[in-house]
Amino acid sequence: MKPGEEVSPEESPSTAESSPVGAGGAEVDAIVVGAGPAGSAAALELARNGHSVVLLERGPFPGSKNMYGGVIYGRILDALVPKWWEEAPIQRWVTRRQTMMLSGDQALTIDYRSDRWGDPPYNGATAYRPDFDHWLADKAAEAGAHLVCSTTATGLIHEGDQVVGVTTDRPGGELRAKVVIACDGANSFLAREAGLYENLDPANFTVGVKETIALPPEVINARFGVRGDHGVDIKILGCTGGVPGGGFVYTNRDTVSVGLVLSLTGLAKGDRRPEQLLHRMKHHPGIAPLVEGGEVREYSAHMIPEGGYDAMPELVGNGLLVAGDAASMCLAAGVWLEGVNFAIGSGAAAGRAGHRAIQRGDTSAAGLAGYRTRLESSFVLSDHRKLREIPHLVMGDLAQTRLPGMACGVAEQFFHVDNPAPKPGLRRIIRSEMKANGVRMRDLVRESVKAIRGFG
Amino acid sequence: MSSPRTFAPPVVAACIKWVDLRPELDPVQGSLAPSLHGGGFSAADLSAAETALSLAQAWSGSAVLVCAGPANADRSLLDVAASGFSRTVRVDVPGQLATATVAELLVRTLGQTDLDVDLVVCGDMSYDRSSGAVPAMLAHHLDFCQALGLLSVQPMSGELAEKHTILATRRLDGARRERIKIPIPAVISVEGGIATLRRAGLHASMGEAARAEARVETRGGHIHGQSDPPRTTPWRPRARSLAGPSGESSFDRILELTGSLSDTSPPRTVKADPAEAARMIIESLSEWGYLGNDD
Amino acid sequence: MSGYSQISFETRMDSVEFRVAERAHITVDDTLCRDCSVRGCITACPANLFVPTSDGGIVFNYEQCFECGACSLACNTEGAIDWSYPEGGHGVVFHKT
Ligand SMILES: Cc1cc2nc3c(=O)[nH]c(=O)nc-3n(C[C@H](O)[C@H](O)[C@H](O)COP(=O)(O)OP(=O)(O)OC[C@H]3O[C@@H](n4cnc5c(N)ncnc54)[C@H](O)[C@@H]3O)c2cc1C
Ligand code: SF4
Ligand code: SF4
Repeated sequence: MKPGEEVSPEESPSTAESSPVGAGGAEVDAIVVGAGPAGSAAALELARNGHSVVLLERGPFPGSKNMYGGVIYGRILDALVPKWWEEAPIQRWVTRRQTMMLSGDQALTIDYRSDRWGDPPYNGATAYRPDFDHWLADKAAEAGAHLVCSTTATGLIHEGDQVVGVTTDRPGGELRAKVVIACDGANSFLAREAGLYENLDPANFTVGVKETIALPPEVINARFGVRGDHGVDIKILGCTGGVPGGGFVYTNRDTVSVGLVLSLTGLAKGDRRPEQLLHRMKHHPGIAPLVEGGEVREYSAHMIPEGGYDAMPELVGNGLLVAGDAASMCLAAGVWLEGVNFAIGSGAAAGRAGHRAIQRGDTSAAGLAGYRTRLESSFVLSDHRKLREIPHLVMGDLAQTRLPGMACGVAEQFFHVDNPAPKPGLRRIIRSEMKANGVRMRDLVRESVKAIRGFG
Repeated sequence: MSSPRTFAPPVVAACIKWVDLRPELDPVQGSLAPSLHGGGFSAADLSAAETALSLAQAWSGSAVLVCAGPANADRSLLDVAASGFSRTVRVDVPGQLATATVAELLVRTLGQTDLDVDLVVCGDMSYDRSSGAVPAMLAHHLDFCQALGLLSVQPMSGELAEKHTILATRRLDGARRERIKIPIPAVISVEGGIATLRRAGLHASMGEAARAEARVETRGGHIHGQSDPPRTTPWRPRARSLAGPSGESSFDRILELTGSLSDTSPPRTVKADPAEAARMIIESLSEWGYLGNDD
Repeated sequence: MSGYSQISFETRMDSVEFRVAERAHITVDDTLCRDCSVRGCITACPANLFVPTSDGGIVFNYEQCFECGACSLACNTEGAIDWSYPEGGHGVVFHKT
């Protein structure tokens, strides 16, 4: 027996009759590579507008390769899937958001809660990506997109300077289309191959690691102070062991996600490994009581393109659009870690731009240029442009170690009751903590000005 | 059913079972819950699918895919179907059914004249129950010859090629192997890893995705009147009760327990035809007390 | 801090499903690693797949890879890491992420 022997498509009983050959050798109108949120949104838009679209996914099912922190800001779905909240595979609705600053054994938390976020249309929801991405890809498939899993796109097919299709790792694996939308995630081989990235700087990437820790729902409710299907979103500054980055804790129904996002270059230079740093954070007295005693159900890792606006590639090529993480559209700026909404927003915009271009019969870069304009006027690029300075600020040493140290120090002195000594004045506390943490007034003012401008 | 029809292009059926490859274990309760995305086929079943395709190809016959599983098996089933099966039938097995019931449901499809199956290829065991008994039951019901747990399967060349005879390897005790010739009609089962399922072509996969529902024929359903609660206890050989040792001293008792100095019936080697051999095995087992009265 | 202790790396990785492909999707030419002073891969790979040997080389196994891409960006020796995705349908499969 020769296991490697291939049945050629001609021999195989279920061959090409379902792939209509259109103008210019295109078998389908559009190919979308990657069934993550960006790809599924793009395929959904195209299929709804009556185009033949193939959605390629390298994993055995959509979402199988995808990992993130844990919160989806779903409002962007309103336009795509009305009443999405009634059917999306959601774990818990976020009604409580915290920012925690950790330093030494101290923790200072800013805590906001609103039960209004627990009602439609909601503000944020925790979900597992294998569930969520699968669901969204099914929406695209229901609208008529051909979802083909277990298929890795290995390259682009060019005709002159126009992209006219992709090659895949399946036998007879070339597929031609009028437009290719690359939604292949953080490593974005297609955008790189097309030369849309001028330079790839490792400093623009972080590595995310997380543990999904099983705990009974009642225990989660009690530890996090929530009820029913309400949940908590905690972002953490500090406690990354000298590697620039941040942490997070999110609640699912019967698990808690605890993770770290770590600068790739910082990790490579340092001498501690991600799981060691994660272990260290889990033992911080601010975190330990939340996760103690749970069993690690799954460990996972993924890369995040964090460079923001200035690290984005060219978004449009001849016959090619790039969306989502593949175009560095993940917004990672301190208290924000959002990518799924940006992926859906950009994917849908790419789908619409593709639709227009196919309709007009011009899928050159000029014909597809509407994509960029569309994004500029939506939150996708306007948020990114506004916050373009923030990633550098957040990853800087001041925000990473000195500010959390100082904030915790100030809080400690302010709340600490040291009778019979009289309470010190706040100004004196701040001055002494700035000194203790090596924060100079000059730096603080400069970074604050940048931050105010940045967060604008 | 074993009428000589050897010279027509044979129909080879791969007979596989959809299982949950990654059921979720509750760490506290020890209970199992089905996983959301873990459904699929065991390595042995995938090897069976490839073996069926290769044999059909070598004989210029056709390969059909018969799967036992619930409705949500269709997606993984179509992935396998795209590798080159001309027909795909899912026998509806909604939940955990006993091995004998699954076999009976499968036989209803395999025995149907519109399929006209000459050779059934199964995996040697499934992940969920792993008794490996389904292929034997199929052979019994179809009245085909059987060869189970095969390590290699090849179509024979020469004059036996015309009769579509298979040359196969099977494990024997003591790490030995035997080579056997298997005439069709037959049911065979193969170990996982003896063949890797060929990758379906891109266009075949696209076609399958496009016609998902249309491509799977559903057959079968419950056998009426038969409720079939899933087994909840592990599979273990029946326990045999032994009287405690009666010797005076501990030395005697240990001698008695270990049977060191007592006479034992020496092992014997017999040569017998299968029916006679089966009779002798059953006789010995009941003599030694392994078979209860209910069997 | 007591209550629970560090789980072993093996236990950690046992929690992850890998549908291992026959072909290695990443290969490391460790003759180039001998001249590398950075060795960023060792700390950056979340699956701990780059293991230094006493003679300055690197042992690499592809089976338990998250396909994150960190190693290929962290390594600045041209040609040391040959990186690609595994054959479709194979490699890591996440469930609760
Ligand atoms: C640790 C971490 C925490 C995060 N936390 C959050 C959060 O809390 N909230 C939030 O909104 N965002 C978060 N993000 C960001 C978010 O996950 C991403 O921005 C988002 O997934 C981007 O979606 P995408 O569709 O562009 O890419 P992806 O989700 O990466 O999808 C890409 C898809 O393409 C497939 N693919 C890749 N290459 C190929 C190929 N060659 N052929 C075929 N298929 C291919 C992949 O298998 C994958 O399914 C986080 C990310 C990380 C890593
Ligand atoms: S893989 Fe790259 S970073 Fe790692 S030791 Fe080799 S050359 Fe250095
Ligand atoms: S891709 Fe990620 S997990 Fe795989 S070897 Fe490289 S760094 Fe390690």
